[in-house]
Amino acid sequence: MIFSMLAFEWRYFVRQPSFIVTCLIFFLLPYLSITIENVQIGGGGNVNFNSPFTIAQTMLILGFFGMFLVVNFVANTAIRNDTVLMSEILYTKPIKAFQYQLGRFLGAYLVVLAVMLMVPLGLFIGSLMPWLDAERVGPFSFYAYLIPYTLFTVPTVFVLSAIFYAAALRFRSMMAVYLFALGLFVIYGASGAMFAEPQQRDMLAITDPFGIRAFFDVTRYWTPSQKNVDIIGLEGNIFYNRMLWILLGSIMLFGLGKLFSPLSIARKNDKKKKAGLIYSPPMDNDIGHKYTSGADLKQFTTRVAFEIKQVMLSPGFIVLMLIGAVLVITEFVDPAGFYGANNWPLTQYMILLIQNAFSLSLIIVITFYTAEVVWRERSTGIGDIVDSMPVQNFTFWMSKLLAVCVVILLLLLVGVVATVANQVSRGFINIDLSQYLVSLLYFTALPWIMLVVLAFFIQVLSPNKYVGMLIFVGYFFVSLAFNQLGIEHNMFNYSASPSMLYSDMNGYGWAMLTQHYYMLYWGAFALVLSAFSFALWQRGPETSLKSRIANIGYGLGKRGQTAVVIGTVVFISVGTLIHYNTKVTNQYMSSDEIKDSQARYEHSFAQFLDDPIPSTTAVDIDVAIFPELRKIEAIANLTLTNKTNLAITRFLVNYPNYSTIEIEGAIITDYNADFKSAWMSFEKPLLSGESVDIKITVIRQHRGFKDKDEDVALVKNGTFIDNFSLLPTFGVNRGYYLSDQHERRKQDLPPPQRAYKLEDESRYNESFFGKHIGMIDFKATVSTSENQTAIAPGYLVDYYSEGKRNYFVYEMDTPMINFYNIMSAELKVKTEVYNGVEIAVYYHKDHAWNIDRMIQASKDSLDFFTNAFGPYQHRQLRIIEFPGYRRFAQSFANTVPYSEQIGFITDLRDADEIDPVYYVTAHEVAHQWFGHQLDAANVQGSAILSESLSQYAALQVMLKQYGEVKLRKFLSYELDAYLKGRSTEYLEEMPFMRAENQQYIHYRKGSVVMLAIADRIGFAPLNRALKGLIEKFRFSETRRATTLDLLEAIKQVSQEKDYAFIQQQFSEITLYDIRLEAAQWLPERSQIKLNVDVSRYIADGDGNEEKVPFSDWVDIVVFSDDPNDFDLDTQILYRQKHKLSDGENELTINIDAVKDEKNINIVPAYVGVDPFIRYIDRDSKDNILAL
Amino acid sequence: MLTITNINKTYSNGVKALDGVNLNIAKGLFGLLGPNGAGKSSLMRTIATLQQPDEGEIQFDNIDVVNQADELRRRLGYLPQEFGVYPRISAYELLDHLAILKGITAKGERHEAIEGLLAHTNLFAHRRAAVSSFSGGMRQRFGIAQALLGDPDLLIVDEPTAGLDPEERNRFHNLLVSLGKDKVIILSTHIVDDVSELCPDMAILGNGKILLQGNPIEVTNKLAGKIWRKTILPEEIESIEKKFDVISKRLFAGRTVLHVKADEAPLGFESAPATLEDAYFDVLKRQRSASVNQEKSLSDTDSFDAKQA
Repeated sequence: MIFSMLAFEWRYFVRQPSFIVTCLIFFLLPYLSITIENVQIGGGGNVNFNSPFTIAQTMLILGFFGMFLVVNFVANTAIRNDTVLMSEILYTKPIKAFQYQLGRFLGAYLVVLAVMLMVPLGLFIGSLMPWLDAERVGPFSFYAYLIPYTLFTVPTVFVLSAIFYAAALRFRSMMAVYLFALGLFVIYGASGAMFAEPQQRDMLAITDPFGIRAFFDVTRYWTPSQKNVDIIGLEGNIFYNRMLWILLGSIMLFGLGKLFSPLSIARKNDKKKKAGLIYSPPMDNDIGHKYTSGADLKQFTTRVAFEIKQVMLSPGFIVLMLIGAVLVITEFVDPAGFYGANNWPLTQYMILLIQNAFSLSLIIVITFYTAEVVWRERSTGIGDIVDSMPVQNFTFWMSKLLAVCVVILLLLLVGVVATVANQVSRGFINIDLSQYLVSLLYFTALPWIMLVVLAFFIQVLSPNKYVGMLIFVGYFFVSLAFNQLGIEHNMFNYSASPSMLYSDMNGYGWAMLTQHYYMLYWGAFALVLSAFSFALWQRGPETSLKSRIANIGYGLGKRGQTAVVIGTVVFISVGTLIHYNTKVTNQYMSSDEIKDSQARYEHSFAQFLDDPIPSTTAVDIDVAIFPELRKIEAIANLTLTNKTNLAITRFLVNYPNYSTIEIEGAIITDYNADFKSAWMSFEKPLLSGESVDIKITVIRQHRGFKDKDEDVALVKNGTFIDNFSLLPTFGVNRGYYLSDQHERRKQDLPPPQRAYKLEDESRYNESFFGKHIGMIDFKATVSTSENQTAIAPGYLVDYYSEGKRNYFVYEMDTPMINFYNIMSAELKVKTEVYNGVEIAVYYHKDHAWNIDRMIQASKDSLDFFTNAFGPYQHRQLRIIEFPGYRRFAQSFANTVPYSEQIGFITDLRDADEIDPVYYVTAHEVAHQWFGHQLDAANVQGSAILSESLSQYAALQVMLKQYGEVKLRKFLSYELDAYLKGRSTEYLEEMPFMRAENQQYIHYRKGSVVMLAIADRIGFAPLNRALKGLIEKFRFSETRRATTLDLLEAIKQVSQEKDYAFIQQQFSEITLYDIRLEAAQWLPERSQIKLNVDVSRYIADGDGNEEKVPFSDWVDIVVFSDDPNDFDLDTQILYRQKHKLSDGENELTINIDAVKDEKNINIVPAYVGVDPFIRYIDRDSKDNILAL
Repeated sequence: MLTITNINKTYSNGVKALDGVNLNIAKGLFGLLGPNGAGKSSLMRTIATLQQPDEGEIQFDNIDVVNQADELRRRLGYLPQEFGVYPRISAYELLDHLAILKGITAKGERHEAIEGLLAHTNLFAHRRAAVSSFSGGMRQRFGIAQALLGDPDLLIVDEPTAGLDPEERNRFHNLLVSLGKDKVIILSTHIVDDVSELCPDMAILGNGKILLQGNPIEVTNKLAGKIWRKTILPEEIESIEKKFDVISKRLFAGRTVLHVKADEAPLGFESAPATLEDAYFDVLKRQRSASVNQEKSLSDTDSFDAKQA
């Protein structure tokens, strides 16, 4: 019985077109992901196309979309008998309910599994394709396909099937199933938002019904070599996740699925009929009233009201709105905050939250509502009656379209209500309703509504609603990959427009103009789609598409023909304008063209890389900024000096983007428009030590608009440009080289060289800022519009207004590195003089929250650094806010530009959180020493000297301000970011001292390593070593510092017993695994017994690890309370280093009684091994236990 | 008034639903008789603009039905054989909605017409109840009411009396006759009595073809004196069928009554008055034997046709 029902379902579905279509989709997506490099689902970097990790990841991600399959097949099975009106016939047969239901369930389940089997098949066949880069195809492993399939696909599909089958059986409605699908999606999203903190990862991993997060939890720190070899097993949270969900699925299926209930037909809503008012039926009424011409308008309004009412009164609608609210509310738990700190609920963030909350789920809403609404008459059975009414197709089409639009708009409204409530509840009352309106209606809803128009068009052409839904969803997923498929220009991606970045400083910037053009363009296209949609509207189920097309002229009517003509004309003419603006007025290059150009550049010029080039030694620059025009006119008078030992005959210059350049005092030849480069020479060769003055005129201006690559440096309010972007640069620009090793191989380029060898002494006289970058004398005159302030390094020596323009003259009195910024914006300023240094913060008027904190951090930092590392070279320190298009802070001489997105808008009211404002400020101030005083040589490890040392300096200020327990939280973020960073390394992980501009090393690992060393040898000796290093290399241009110098300096202040540890940190990739296995508090003896397991590994650059002996000192710390919880006033009751060796360690520690204010002994509550993160611990979660 | 010229329709599954249908229908009630699957509904739906013929033309009062669907719909009333309704909407509200779709824009007119139709279909007492909760017969009456909205000049009713009790059926017949004077009413049915009671003109449809068209009385008269009847035992049927042109077998009180068509009285048969039913069965029988013969003669070319398809 079970088997025959199963077989029936199987036979039923494999003949359905939807089975074939979905099989194709689920075969093609993974196939393409492997065979077309641009389409990627998993993998990337150093990981093979067919690595076990990539296979599992692809299967998991597509498993998520398997939800649609389950809805289609399983839920369809559950209620098919009702929908096709077979139930009365079937249920009177002598069928055993349980066997019948279970058989059908299993049949449908198997069908979904069969479709999902296409994923490994597609991956496997894809990996055999001959055009693949053989170096990136690993050996075939059957288990790499089988295990993820059995571990993830089989149970996940079971869980989804069980839930949807149960829901469908119980509620006997497809809508209920859709809502369950959406609900599951919400659970997924909500748990993601709620358990975003590192310590909640277990919850996050276990609560994901798809197992995706469990997988990523277990593989979080996998290195490329592990990804290529290891096959995921039923380990860690994957086990718990699978068990939990199989259990839940079974409960749903057997408990709630009504499998055992006798088969019965759906109950009709048989409300008691109320007797009508008793008066005699009006038999004599005139029933002969006829069609009156001009009924169209009345029909239209009636139909619109009717459709909207139908949508809003359907039981799913309220639930959908609730789900919408939940989706938005779960986003309030802001996981994106810097180091866990929240940002103020600015309207621009609230809008992002709404967009994030709805982006994917809205596609589900559009797909399902469009299908329901378009096919409503057909599915209720009134289609024949309504279709034969004298109503224009247009009326049906438009009223239904409006109904779906109303759903979308109401969802957004729910989002706005929720976010405004959130803003108010968090005490933020600067609510920008006009921004809500513009961003959500014009930038969000309008493109979605165009998608609805497309969904309608597809449904109109489709033979039934399921095919229409599949085609639309298929289109959507393909459109997500358009970029990777080479369809990059927004002119070719329906309803797309250049991305909008909002900045409180600069508003919508250029995006408003582009949005006008692109919306008009796609709107015209949508208009044509609309006309064809209603022209081809299906009246009667047997009206074939062919006959509708044959009669299209009649279907269009005058209105439709006009729409098609107007739409086509507007589409073509606006399209022409867009083409002209984005590709003629402005340069447009696809990413492939850019790669080719990069390769040609390297092929052409790599041979000149080591040619001698002059250094700029004096700059007198006049920069006129015209913010309204987005125009800069700059005249730079430069003194170029030959600091090399060779004569310079000619050298390469690279011209900046968006600019026209004139150079006087030099000869320019061989201008190459492709690379915007040329050769520069002088009348006679520039001999060693000689100088020459040149004058460069730059006009940088923006005309028309672009499709991508907007110039975020030159904007109406918030210009921030540095000299490398504004002026031509000299010498071969290695920054323009292709960096990806695989791309390089394809272009016949040698493997990438990110940095010169640490031991390459010939580079010690080059700066890490650039080969020829040295110290300059600096003077700048910057003018801007009357309401803006212009800023450059140096001190303001003159200021005047003339002809509605402000002029600022800056001069630097100390040597500074040839790296400077020009800024202009409407800014407020707060200034304070502290110990002879003027501290000034320039900020946007609405972002005044953290100005005092920045000033405080600056004071503390200046104090500390001056004391620890030597004098500050300037009399002034300025922090300047710039628009959030770029998210960083950067240190120039006496000047720190600071992005709107970090620091300025952080909500610091919660004292429990890490204070990122204080930290970033301290870090940037530290760069005035590490980077500006101590310039690093152009070899491996250069960023360690600037970034790791700035981290170390900043963390000391943090430690002083916030204490060790809070620093622990900061370090746990750093350790995590390092371990994650190394798992996505695309080339090779380097040891600390050889880091090649790898952020996860020089920032993240740097924090942990430097504090670990300080913990060994003491902060004071380490600071002394750094001070010595600065003194030795301060402003030196002949011999710059390296990490070897740093290591040497540190060793000089350390004891020999610590040499080994320090050397390991510097020259090896060392990882530890420290685990507190058990801890027992023996109150009678005042002792704690501990079992600690320790191991140490050395990894190579690919992440292959080797176990090595360990014998070293490790902190054992006893706390009075949970050290993870800052609310508690946790005290440290015991803190001592113990010598541990690899393997099991058993130790007993004696606790001296510590008394609280009431003179009662404090009971030890938690004990930790290395709780303050002095070791790079692969899993720092298992270091602390409660007693 | 309604002219159907050479309509052909083949469905995508290969079934030929309409095969060279020609009809001329004047004002008044027109009965369309035929067995299940004869193509009645296909023809009705084609006239009701819900599907398009592969070939042929339909003219109604100078409207080209295929290419001017909207114009026809203004004058059309259609009751499909099967239909459902929107959930949660009362009879009055749904009729009101449909009345607007039918183009009765004046509220007063709409109200008057709807109440009148509810009265005529005996649904007035249930006008506030949801149509989705109606029983089969009530729902069928609702369907009739909506078809009559807007006083259509062309009324197409597909199996309208299915599910109606005799009383309601009579009520409906009276209504149709009273309306039939100045409109074209096409009534499809497989109940011969419906046609003989109501229609001055009729056609019999079989296998997508018009087998016969005419006035029921004239059609019947052609068989007058040629119908013979005999009551027999079931086991005798086979031998008689071989000898005579048996057009119908019917049970009466447990025994079989045979009708035979012949110019002279066969032995043992008594004369019977010709009825429309006799004519109907006679036509169907001739059509079936003809198509069997045709199939035999075509069987040689079958394989060729299959390839063509």
